[in-house]
Amino acid sequence: MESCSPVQIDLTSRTSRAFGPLRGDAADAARSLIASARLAWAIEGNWAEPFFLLVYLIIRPLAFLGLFLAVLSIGGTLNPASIGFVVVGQAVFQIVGAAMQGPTHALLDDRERYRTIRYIFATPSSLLPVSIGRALVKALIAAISAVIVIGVGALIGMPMRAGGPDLPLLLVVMTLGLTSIVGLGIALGAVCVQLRNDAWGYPQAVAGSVFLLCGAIFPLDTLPRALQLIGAALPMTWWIEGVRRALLGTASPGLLGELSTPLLLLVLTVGTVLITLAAPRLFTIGIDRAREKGYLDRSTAS
Amino acid sequence: MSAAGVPKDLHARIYAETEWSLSHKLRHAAQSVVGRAYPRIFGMSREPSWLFFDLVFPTLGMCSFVFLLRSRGADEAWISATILASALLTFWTSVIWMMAGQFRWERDSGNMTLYITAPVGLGSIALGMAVGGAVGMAFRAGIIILGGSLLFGAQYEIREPLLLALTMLLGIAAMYALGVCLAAVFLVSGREADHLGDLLNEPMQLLGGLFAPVRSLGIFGLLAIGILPLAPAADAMRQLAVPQLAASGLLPVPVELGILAVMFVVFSLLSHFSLAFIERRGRADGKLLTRAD
Amino acid sequence: MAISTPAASAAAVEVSGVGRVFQAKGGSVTALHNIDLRIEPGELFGLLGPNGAGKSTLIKILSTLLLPSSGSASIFGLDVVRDTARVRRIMNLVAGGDFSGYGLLTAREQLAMFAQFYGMPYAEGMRRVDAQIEAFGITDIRDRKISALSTGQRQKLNFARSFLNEPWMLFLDEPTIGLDVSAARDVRERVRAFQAEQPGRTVLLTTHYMAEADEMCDRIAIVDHGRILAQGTPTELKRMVQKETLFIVGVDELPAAVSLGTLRELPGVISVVVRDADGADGNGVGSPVTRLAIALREDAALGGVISALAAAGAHLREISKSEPTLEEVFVQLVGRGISESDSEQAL
Repeated sequence: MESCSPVQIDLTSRTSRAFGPLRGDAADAARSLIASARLAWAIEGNWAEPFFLLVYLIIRPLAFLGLFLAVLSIGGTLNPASIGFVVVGQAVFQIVGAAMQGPTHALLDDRERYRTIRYIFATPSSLLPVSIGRALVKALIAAISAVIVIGVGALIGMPMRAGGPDLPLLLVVMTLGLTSIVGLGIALGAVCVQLRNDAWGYPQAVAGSVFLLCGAIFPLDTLPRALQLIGAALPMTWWIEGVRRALLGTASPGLLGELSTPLLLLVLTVGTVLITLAAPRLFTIGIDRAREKGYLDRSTAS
Repeated sequence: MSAAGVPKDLHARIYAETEWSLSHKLRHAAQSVVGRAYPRIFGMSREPSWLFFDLVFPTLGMCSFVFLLRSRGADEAWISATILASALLTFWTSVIWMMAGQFRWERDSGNMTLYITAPVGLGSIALGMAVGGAVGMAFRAGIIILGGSLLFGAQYEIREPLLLALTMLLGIAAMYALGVCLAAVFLVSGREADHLGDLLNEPMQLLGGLFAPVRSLGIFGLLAIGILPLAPAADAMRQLAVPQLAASGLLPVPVELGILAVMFVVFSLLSHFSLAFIERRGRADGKLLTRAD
Repeated sequence: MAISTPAASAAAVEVSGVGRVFQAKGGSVTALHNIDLRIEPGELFGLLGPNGAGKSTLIKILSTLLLPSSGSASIFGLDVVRDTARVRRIMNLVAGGDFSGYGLLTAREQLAMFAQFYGMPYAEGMRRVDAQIEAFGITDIRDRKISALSTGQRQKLNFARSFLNEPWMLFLDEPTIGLDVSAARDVRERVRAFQAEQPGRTVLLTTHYMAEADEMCDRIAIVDHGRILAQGTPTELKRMVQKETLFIVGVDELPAAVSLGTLRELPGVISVVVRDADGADGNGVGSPVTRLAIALREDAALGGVISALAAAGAHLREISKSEPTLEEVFVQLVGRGISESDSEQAL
């Protein structure tokens, strides 16, 4: 049977020092967040495996990009604007996919692979900061491949914004986008932890659906009207559009492109706030329900 | 010491039981193939979530490519080709995870121990897995083609149905034969196997010219069509089912059929040797085929 | 390559100088050292030893899962390395804690699948499947998915599978591990019945449950660190640690007319000591009993002791023969208890 090398990490020492003067729930949450982020870094990074790095940070993201560009070229000669549109969408979606699937995989890993969820649950720490920490690290690792994709995009003719990226805009949309995607990720995790079978597959299915709906590689206008509306309700749609404007300096073709950047930021902010308010509540309800049903100690692998 | 009542002709009887005629061996091999195919054909339909995921992932990918094509105003014939490619992708995905990755699962679940100690060859088990996988996936591929065609109004003009059927058959057979060879690679590669599986997914879709013609890949396309069954299969099927796109083919269909036939033979032979290799090595090192105790 | 019919005198299992070395990080590990073993047709032979003793390695070699590093082994005269295909046609294997199979199949479908693998015609295979389901008393789960079965039910199914090809050689590797008392008893009974149905069927059992080995096995080999330390019938093994026969004789009260010294001088008596006095009877109630522990050179000497006690007016209340347990045999041979050995292994 495949064995997992144990990850040995002192989860308390540095965080205890860092939050020594703090007391109460906030300090507990911060400690859990940092400890789980460090644990996730150790688990998810697999830094000792060059093959892992090669496959997941370089080959797969670039293969996806190659696939999209190859299909794009069917419709006619590739122009820089089309390349830029697809490259940015593909790059940002690396982060979206990772952060969206991260909390579910972390919860299921802890429940079924490492079998530690019951122990985490038995501590005063909440599972919420633990899940957020794992999602953030996954997003951070995915960001490396996003940078690689954008770098390759620049090499193959992606038009960058004159004068370089709009860093303030990039910072704002990335912060809002990451916050919203982590929120959606933890809500999805709390749903999946309640499923009876094949809980592992659902986050991928949801991420695939979001990819289809958020205008990552084609303008939102291409979708049927009903799907356009769903796409417009997703913060990822606005996030990707914001990053496009920050990096490429131009708006996307179609409906989204007609909106001003402040309006885009407003929509993204409202969406993020709503998700940030709702996600922890949904997470708590989901975990409580899973506990009631005895799902915190089961295996869904088929 | 000998237990009471042991018949005098015991050894002769036992020896006679180990003597299997050729017809016995053939019947046994055929039964074993059917036996191993059974769980894949009938068992898998009992898990609705598997059916859901088997259909949902290729469908999502298919929709993304269709909308990407539409956003560029590509010829509608390419949408038909994309639907066909998505159907072929279900077989390729099954080759990666249900063939190449399967022996690792069989080992970890303890089934491999029972296969090795039974009088059944790993070849029969692998063939049963392939037949069961191909039949199960054919059902899913059919749903994808039907659903995709209805959803996007795709049309096909099949002038040579027998040739198309032969292409599909040879393509699928060559893919599954390759899957058996890869099973040995996956077993030997241990923990790296999951990464290997992911490496065979999207990168091979690109190299195999599944959604865009392999012709556009230049020298890489030629290379792919010579070693990756997905490439000649996708290229030939596109030419046969969507004649408007015949010009996008890298090679004439009969040549690609010939390549697939050669691939099938070569991969079948390789799989025979690779199965013999993993059994020999497994018995020698004690870890490859049985769970660590 | 054609092979000749094995000699009628061939053992069911013949192991000659078998050694096995595993390559591991930091060097090689020797799991078996030059093992010699002979098991006769029809025997139920036990390999008793702690985890890591080499029992499973030997079973893997004999069941064609593993090649020996040195030496040779045969099953009913068929070499396990050269005649692999033939050996597999007459043997089967059950391992404890085994969760093999396909969770989506029903119990009956799973057995039917293995029946195909064992090479019998389809109709005959299905007949045997149904017969084994009946014999193991698992008709209630025959149409239930494997994934829904309990550990005990899965292990019964595993046994049923192993009986499908009616093997002449059955390997049982810790088969009752994880089973509750009742399920373990059921499968032990089925194994005995299976052997009784056809004389010549041979079973090699590995276990670290002393009572199981004592109860089931015709002969036992005690294995530790890849070596066979002793082998024989359970009685022979016990004799190794206790040469004399020990009887416990309970009387109301030791009469004044007979002293321990008198008893010790009787023919065949080695020693007599008072084990406990004023104890209650076996149920903890009733009048006091004095128990004498009497060591004899042979069982027949007991008659003289009883006569002497009766002649002195002692009222005999109970008599029992005390034997050492296999645990005591194991401790004497290995130098530690089996559970201690397992703890060491775990460390």
